[in-house]
Amino acid sequence: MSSETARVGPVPHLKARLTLLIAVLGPGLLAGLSDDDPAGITTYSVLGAKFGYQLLWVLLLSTLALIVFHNLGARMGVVTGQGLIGLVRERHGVRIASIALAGLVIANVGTTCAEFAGIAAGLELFGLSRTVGVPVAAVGVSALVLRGSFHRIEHLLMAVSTVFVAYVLSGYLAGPDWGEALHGLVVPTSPITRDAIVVITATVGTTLAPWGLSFIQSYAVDKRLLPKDLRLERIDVLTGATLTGVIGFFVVVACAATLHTKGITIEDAADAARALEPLAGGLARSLFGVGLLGAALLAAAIVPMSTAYSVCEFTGSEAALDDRFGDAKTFYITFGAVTITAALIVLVPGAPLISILVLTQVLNAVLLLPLLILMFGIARDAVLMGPHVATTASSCGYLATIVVVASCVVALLLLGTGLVPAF
Amino acid sequence: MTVLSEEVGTPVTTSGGVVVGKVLDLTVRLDRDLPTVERVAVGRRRVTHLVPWVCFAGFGDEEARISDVHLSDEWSVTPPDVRLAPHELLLARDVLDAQVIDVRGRHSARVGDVVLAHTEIGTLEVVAVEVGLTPVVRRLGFGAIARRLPMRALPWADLHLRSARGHLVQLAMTTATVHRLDDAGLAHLLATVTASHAVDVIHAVGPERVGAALRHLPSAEAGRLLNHLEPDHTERVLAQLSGADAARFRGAVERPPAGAHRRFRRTAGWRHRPRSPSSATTEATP
Repeated sequence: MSSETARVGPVPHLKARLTLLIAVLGPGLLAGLSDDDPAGITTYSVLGAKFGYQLLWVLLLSTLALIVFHNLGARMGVVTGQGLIGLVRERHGVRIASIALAGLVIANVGTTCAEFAGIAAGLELFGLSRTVGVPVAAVGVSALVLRGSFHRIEHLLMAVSTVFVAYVLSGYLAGPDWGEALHGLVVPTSPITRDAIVVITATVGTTLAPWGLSFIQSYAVDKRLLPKDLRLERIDVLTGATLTGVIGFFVVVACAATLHTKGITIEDAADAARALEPLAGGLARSLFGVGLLGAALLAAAIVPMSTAYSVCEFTGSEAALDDRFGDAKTFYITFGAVTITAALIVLVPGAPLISILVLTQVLNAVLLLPLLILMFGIARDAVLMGPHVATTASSCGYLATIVVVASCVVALLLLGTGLVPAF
Repeated sequence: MTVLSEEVGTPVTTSGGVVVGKVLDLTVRLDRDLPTVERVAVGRRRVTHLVPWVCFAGFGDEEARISDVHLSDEWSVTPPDVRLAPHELLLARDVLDAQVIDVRGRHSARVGDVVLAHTEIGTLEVVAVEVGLTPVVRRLGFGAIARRLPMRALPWADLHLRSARGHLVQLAMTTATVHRLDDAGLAHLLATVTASHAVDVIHAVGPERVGAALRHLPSAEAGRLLNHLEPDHTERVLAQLSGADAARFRGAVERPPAGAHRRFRRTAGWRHRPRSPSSATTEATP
């Protein structure tokens, strides 16, 4: 300390509280924003292109569900010091935990393929080749996680997530009907068609992704948050989930105002970006493309990290971003394996990417309900949660969310199996 | 030698061959060098009894045989509310699949199985826990594959349990692992467990030992732990330290806890530049 040092005066109260809040921010923001991955953006784009503003209320409900369960996940991690799969194993034994882990790993590899496919699509929008871009992205993400410290990784990922503002701008550029959008947001109506049920279920499933549920809990453990940070962590979760919903809103609105009014159908987010250009200008297209690329990069780091955390929790191995490779081999090897596998699949010419992505969405939807039920059971377990066990009011909230998700999954199954005729 | 997963589910029969239930769990008492099985949880049709070990005429080889005793109502318990003695815990509930810390090797693991040994005097002792993938593979029903995989066991004496009851019961024993740790080992343990468990450990080992252990931790981590203690306990710990160490940790305690263990502004190191000669400041970075 310099001899000229004078003690800094007392930190203002508001500044101290803001300092505490900023230090806690991370799990909710990253888990929430990474939900707006290419699969999510595609789902929201299709939602807007096919149904206009009508199904915006589904996004609102999904966001509320996200707030409820991400808050629970963060709390479980902070209170127990363990991730979701670890708690499942401790409470339910090795058989159920193995099934949950196997499902998560398979779904996460598929999801990571979707992220790298999104990187490839985003790069190709700007005329860049995937054969260069995808390996560079894979190496870059791996190097960040392998070499970076916890705070550096967190800050870089949060910096990447600022690209989401591009969707907000492209939404404005599309010139939407704000009155209709607000109406669609608060008035729940829906055509009773197979397409509508599929899109509604996909929206719920992509917002409340299984890997996101396990990530936020594991990341809160790795961030070493204390129970006294829980109040501020709620703000983090609320902010992240709300931003997710807001970004989704503007994606839907951008597509509703342009593609839906012209009757243009799309298959993926890259289609949406291309289709926006003649309708809302080249800037809207570029912004959409930048958003897609940023979303894919963020999720391409988060999803393999979530997988690595889950594997380590199952085996009881060390899993911390601050650990060196030698101290956390299982963690880094799992991260690398998922990343490399997904990147290679995307680069294989003629790889059945659409089938992989569809199956991944189905697997995520199938996994979601059991995971929510397992989380509900843990939340109510006084031995594991101690004084932070779920209250009756919270339990009602969790159950209501589970019922809504179950309804969507059941409806989809009934329509898919033909037990209920499609309209 | 046997393992817990092979004993759980074993039918419990009388000497006449009448099945009275099956083994659900084993309780062990920890107030010995090696925990010994105290009671056996026997379950049948939603009724569970904690049968004293001495009532068993034979145990193992796919059968547990009790002497001709009536399953007394005194032994009846209603899971999950199972009343145990202060030194007692349930192996399947509190140890199996729980996280443990190998304090000698200084790493975490998850218990895949519990290794038990019959003694010459007819007791059943816990000698080690099995970790890694081998017990998982075996318990999933792939015994033939598991037999080809290496076994990795951690001696019971080197373990600290992280399950809720296991942690507390171990700490209550004078023979607890934490009392045999050196300063560096204790520091590793404190940094690995949750903050609330660390507080329990700190209370168990006392301020002198904690002070010595904290010297092996970065200031931010020590501050995190001290911030979780009640103020008078924090002072007692700090009172054990030399002037320089005490000042270092006191500074960490007085910083906002959530900001102390992570640098949240990359520019923090060079944010404070002298604005004028009269207000020159330098931030004390961790």
